[in-house]
Amino acid sequence: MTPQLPEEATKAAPLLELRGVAKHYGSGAHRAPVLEGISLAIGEGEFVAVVGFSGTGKTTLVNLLAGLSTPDAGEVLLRGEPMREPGPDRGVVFQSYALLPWLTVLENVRLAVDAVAGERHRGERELRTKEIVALVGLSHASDKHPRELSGGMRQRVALARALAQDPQILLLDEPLGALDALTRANLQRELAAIALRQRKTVVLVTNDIDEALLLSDRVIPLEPGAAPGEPARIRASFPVAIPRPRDRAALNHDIEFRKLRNELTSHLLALGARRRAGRPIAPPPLPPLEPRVPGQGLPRVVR
Amino acid sequence: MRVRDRVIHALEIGGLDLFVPFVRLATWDEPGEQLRQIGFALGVPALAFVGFVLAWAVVAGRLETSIGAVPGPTQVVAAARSLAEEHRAERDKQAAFEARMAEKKAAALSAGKAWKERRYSGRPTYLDQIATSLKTVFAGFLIASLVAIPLGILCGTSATAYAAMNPLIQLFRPVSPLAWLPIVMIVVSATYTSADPWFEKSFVSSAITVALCSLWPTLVNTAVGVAAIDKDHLNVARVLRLSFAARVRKIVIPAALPYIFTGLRLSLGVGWMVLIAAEMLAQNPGLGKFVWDMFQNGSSETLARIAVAVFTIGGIGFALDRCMIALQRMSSHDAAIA
Repeated sequence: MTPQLPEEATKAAPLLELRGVAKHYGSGAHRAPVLEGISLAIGEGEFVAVVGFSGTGKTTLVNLLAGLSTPDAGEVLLRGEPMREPGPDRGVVFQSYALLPWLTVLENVRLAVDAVAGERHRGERELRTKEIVALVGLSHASDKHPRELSGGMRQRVALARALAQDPQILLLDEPLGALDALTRANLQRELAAIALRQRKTVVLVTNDIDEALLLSDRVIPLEPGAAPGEPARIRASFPVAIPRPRDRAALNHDIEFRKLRNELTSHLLALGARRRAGRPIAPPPLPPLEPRVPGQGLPRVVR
Repeated sequence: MRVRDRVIHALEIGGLDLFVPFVRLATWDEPGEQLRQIGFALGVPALAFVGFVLAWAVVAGRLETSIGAVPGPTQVVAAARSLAEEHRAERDKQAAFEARMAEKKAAALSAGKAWKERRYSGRPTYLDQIATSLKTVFAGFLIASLVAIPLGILCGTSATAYAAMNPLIQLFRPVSPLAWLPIVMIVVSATYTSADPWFEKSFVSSAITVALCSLWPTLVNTAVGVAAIDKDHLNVARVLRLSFAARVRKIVIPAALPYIFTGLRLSLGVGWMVLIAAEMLAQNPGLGKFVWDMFQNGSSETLARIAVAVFTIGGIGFALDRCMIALQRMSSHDAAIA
């Protein structure tokens, strides 16, 4: 097993690139490094999955790729130019979905359509909005509010809103994390089909190895630091050389796929074991105990 | 059943939860439980009120003042009746006057003579005073809202603006209307010098004083509400590159609306309380002036009439608060229709 370096993985000029990026939260005694030395190049049309344990800075990585936050060191390049701000060409599906609760499904999607196609005729925009809602199979729930929807339906709305801005790049932050297994499998299939059909470049952040292998061209483990409090890094990359779209049932019998899954699983398990071994027996002084909401990163006090 | 649930929902939104058991009782839904709830929600307050009135009647008869005994409940009811009677009499006089004028005008015009309109110049009745007070408080409340909501949004979105405004807010928030009023009156007399003014000066002074005292709760609550907006929602705006105006209209205001309404409700309460004091001093024809006039002329009915004003002020304040609760519940997108 020889995991390739990320730089070697993409031959074409990268669409989106991280170069030696580092990010920390807080300052002084509360300084908490999250990511360090992250280099990653994503080619046009590529579907990249970043796999990591919870709390290793996956959301921070998505925010950097989206331009929602800026790195403390290194640079983020979009088409070779430094990225300065977020924009509609990078659609984000937030981990919390971030649907606006006072708007219906249609209105949530319309917000994105209007933002990117404001100069178009009103009827045209309306048509486009309905089209996108139909694409994710929610036409029957157009006039419902997010609170009236199931988790899977909310997820679809979030995806629809990201697609409505017709982005070149889709950034998905654990989009299926909160769903039951069946809904999850369904949405994985739809996501694969939409990404392929609309030729999107996709970065999927997940903690599910099978999901990553099923959907992506390349799986990149986000390696946690050797001890808690140390930043996460990217060292390896696992190309999945099986043509997309893939059939879940057929994959389970594919010898290549099973080998890859074993490799990836043992790689991640080794990382986890190293992290546990690196933990001192006496617990280090802890930061203030604040509830850590998934997707909201570090405790408020530290930030 | 659907109809019943809608009625119940409307009552709850309207802040009239009190009547929900009646609706349930009407449809024979756990009648015993409903009766118990009605007994608790209506019976206990009613008993307490009766107890208060009895205690009042007992105490009132024993307290002598320079202008007679403190009025008991019966005298106050009589005073309310006489105020209503005066109102009717005044309206009758006005109607008679206007009818007479109309006749004269017709006669003058048919005779080809010039005619000058004359307006009826009677005293404002108690109901007129209430109307003026309501107009003044709403004018002040409107000014306060127009100032406080934009400022609150600014303070909530910009930490710099908040840091700049915070000391001013803390400094001016506790200031009594009685301190503001003289300044406001002098400034208004100096600057509001139209030959044919839309509003009385006293009205403008009272309204501005109400605004100055009542804008703080809205300002602070709006700022807190805007600052508490889910960061992901703001990130949505950033990803879509919404303009500042679109961001405020589509995300900031709807998200902060429950907070804004909480602030508005508190502001209206403060405004109504402040208004009475402002009217007393500014001599704006309203409930405050009514109380002051009664105090000045010291007739045998003075205390009873002031007591009527006390109940009126309390009742209107209560009603305004209920209206604001209803608006507040309607604006809450999380809980309203769940």
